[in-house]
Amino acid sequence: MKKLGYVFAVIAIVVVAVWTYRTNYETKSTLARIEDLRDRIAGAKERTRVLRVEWAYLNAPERLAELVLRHNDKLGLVTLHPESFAYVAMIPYAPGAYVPTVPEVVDIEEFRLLPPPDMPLPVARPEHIEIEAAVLEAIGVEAGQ
Amino acid sequence: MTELAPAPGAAPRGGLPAFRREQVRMLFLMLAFVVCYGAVGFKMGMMAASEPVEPTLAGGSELPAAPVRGEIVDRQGRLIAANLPGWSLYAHPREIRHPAKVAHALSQIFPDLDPESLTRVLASDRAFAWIKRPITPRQKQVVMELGVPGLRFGRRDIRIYPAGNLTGHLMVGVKPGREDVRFAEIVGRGGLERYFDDQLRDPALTGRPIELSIDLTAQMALSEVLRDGVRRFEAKGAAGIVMSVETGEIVAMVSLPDFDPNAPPEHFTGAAELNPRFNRAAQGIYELGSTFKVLTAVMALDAGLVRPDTLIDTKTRLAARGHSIRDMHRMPPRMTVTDIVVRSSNIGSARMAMMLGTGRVQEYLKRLGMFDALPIELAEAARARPLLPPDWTDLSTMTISFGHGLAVSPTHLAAAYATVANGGRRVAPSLLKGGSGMGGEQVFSEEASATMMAILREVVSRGTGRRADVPGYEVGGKTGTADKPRSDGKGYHKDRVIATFAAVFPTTAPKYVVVVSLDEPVDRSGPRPIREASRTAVPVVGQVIARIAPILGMRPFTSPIVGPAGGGVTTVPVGR
Repeated sequence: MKKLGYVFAVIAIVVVAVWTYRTNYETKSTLARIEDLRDRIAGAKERTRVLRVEWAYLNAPERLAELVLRHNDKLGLVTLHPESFAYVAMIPYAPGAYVPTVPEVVDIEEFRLLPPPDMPLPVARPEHIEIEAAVLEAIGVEAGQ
Repeated sequence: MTELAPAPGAAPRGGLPAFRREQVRMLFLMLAFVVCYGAVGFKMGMMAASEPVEPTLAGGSELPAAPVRGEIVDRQGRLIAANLPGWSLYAHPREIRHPAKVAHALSQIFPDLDPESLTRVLASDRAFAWIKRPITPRQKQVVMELGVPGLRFGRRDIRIYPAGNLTGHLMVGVKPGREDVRFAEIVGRGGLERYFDDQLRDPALTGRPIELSIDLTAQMALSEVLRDGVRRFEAKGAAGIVMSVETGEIVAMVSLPDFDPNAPPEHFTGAAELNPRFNRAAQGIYELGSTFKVLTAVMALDAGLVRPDTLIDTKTRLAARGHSIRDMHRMPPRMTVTDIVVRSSNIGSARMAMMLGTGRVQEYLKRLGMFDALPIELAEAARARPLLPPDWTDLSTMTISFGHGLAVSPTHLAAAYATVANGGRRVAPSLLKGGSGMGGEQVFSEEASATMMAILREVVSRGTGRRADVPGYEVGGKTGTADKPRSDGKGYHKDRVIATFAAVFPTTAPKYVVVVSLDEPVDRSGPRPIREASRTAVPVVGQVIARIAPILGMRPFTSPIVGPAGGGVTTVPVGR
């Protein structure tokens, strides 16, 4: 009886020792991985910061103005002016097409164009467009992470 | 005798082992305490003795967790001030074998280093010497390829302003503070960088950028238009401010000539007013001339002394203390308050100021913030206090009523106009997004404010401001042409002026105030040179509004009228 007890005790010690050993090394390797990941995160952050500065530098208004001046024969850009704002009524409609009859009025408080009551306003382009996976596959784009 | 109960006085035979057992127990207990307290003490000692280490995201990595200095962005989140990782180069001269060769190689990489003095430094017996800071990663690579032992690198951040000259006067720049091989402080040299130095350097706050009220696109447009104006009118310089009426947010602030904050000029030997580092918009203190008549008129309206159609005697000269006040041009003998502003009568303004009395004029000006330094977030602003007459007499009140005798910055004027336009509620200028949150005190009544806006609209529709009338934006404003005081203190120059136009648009629902000041402009397109603001500052403001209003998303107040079928379409203003 007593011997059996010793045997169990020894087995238990071996099991616990093995478990401790493995946990110990697992912990150490996890710590190493965390450190590695943190290092990579810091590296990525640093690169993002550099890229943001580079982006800001490349898009600095004075630089863009100079580039536009140099290449405007091809770009054909014009300065934004009050006359740049248009009204639906200025569009030449095809004969027989729907023509809004109610004049458009500018909201003095908000500087918005008030729509004639019977016409829908165009919707602003959404920032993100959800494209179905099947469509992406069809045009040969792999779904990103 | 039993063993259990030894007789008193007899030597205890079994007592000795029991006594020893207790001793052992006590010893054991003491040991346990010693171990416990020892562990705690050891840990405390370790913590006290260990080297303090900067908290880094990547333990042991050389990359810090956050930028050393906070970023600054414009109201749209575009970077105005940021940091780039860089390096500093230092040497341990004792470890360098061939100082002359190394110095020569380094001077090839950095042309601004003098090889001879560098050789002296490297040949010396010093343990440590800075060579160059900061250097770019590419330069670091080249130096490393030299393979010279004794040349070392320390991490350093480089402050960079991507928008360059556009933000020169706002940022001013930075300078190195205390530094070491392992760390370096970057300290604001002036402007916003100095004003917010503590906040930008606070490690707990560096992750969050400071958001400014400046819109870089509007800033660019203002700078471009002013530059054009300076060239066209041969001006020495210019200042321009675009301010939101409701919040006091400064959307654009330009002072010309400007400079690049990435390489701020160190020393300037010319006249102080020509120094590019001088911020004319916030630091420049000028007598702004007739633009003050608007303030005088709105005070008189608010006090209930006059109505827009009240007739005031403008014929007889006003005399005080041996001086007499007259008008530049012939004026009708009696004018309405509206006409006094529209046609800019000095006598009329002075009379209104006298109706108010010195005390009330001072009170109003004080509440407009005309006696205090600008509350904006630039380090220089606090030092630029308005110049008041040393001895304020009734004559001072009269001259100040048309903008002479009290010198303020163009930003002061913009804030005062914003207050008039904001239904009379005080507006405190601010460079932070959302405004400074100060102000709000009712200085003028809403009625006086609305009346004044209508008068300002008339100045532009039929008075001196005609050239700033951008169709659809209902521009209102007032010109001011002030002779520049002579630097020797003997009166004023005859042919040198500060031409200012302060505009509000749209007058029926004021949104923005634009103030433009040109220093010594002259229009030589005609037969004789013209210096009046109506021919110089006014057309510049017209261009500013035409450029900036669309950028700020404002649609002109026009409404199309559809002509007969297939016919052309015209637009007509619908504003009142």
